[in-house]
Amino acid sequence: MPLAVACAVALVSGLLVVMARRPVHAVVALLGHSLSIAALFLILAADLVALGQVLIYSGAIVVLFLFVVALLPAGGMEMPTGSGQILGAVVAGGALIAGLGAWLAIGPPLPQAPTVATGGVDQIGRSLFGQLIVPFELTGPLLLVTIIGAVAIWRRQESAP
Amino acid sequence: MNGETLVLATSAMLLAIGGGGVMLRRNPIAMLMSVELMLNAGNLLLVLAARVRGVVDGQSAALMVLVLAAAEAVIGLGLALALFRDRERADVDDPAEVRG
Repeated sequence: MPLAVACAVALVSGLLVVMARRPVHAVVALLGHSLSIAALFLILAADLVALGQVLIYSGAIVVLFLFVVALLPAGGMEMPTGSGQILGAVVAGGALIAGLGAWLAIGPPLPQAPTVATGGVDQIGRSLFGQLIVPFELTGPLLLVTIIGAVAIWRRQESAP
Repeated sequence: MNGETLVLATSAMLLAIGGGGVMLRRNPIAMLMSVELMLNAGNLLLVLAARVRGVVDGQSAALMVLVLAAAEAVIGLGLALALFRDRERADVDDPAEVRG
């Protein structure tokens, strides 16, 4: 039952993120969405990922979005979308849902999850520093490049008149 | 419908919602938030696979996707601010200097 509630909250708040006309409302919906995803992670026995989701998503990313919404012109209001864009998005989104639904319907059913959950912090650490060591270490240069890129974007902005 | 299939369907629909948002919205902030929705959908699938198969690697990959999402948000929002700070409205079709 908690699983169904968390799934419903995630879907409704996700729709609100896309549909909200005012960016501030969308950011608040994104906060609810990330918290419901964290609840889903907890239900799926992924405690560490749920913690990271709350810290990084709900804590850092949503606050960053709030700052930028406050700094953008007129709160970032936008023009109405063209009808051709709406048609294209409805067709593409419908095709995506239809394809995934058909795959869900005809594909083999998911195996039941084992009753004993795997994945304590120690096991995740073993996986990160064992088999997945190369991609894990590559997140370091990724963050470095991100920092340098953000500073470079801002410096270029300042040097321009 | 068992719980695993429910989570799988939720993940698929979140991916579709996020994709529709990227196509529909013209505000750079809203587009970035739709991308975050799609990343969340992928993360949900990784964690579900880790739970169903009883291996922990999916959770480790989900943690790395979280780092990736944070980096993407920083760069995307920085670009949005740099492009739209001096404009009257935020519309991704407006800036002429990025046209090829």
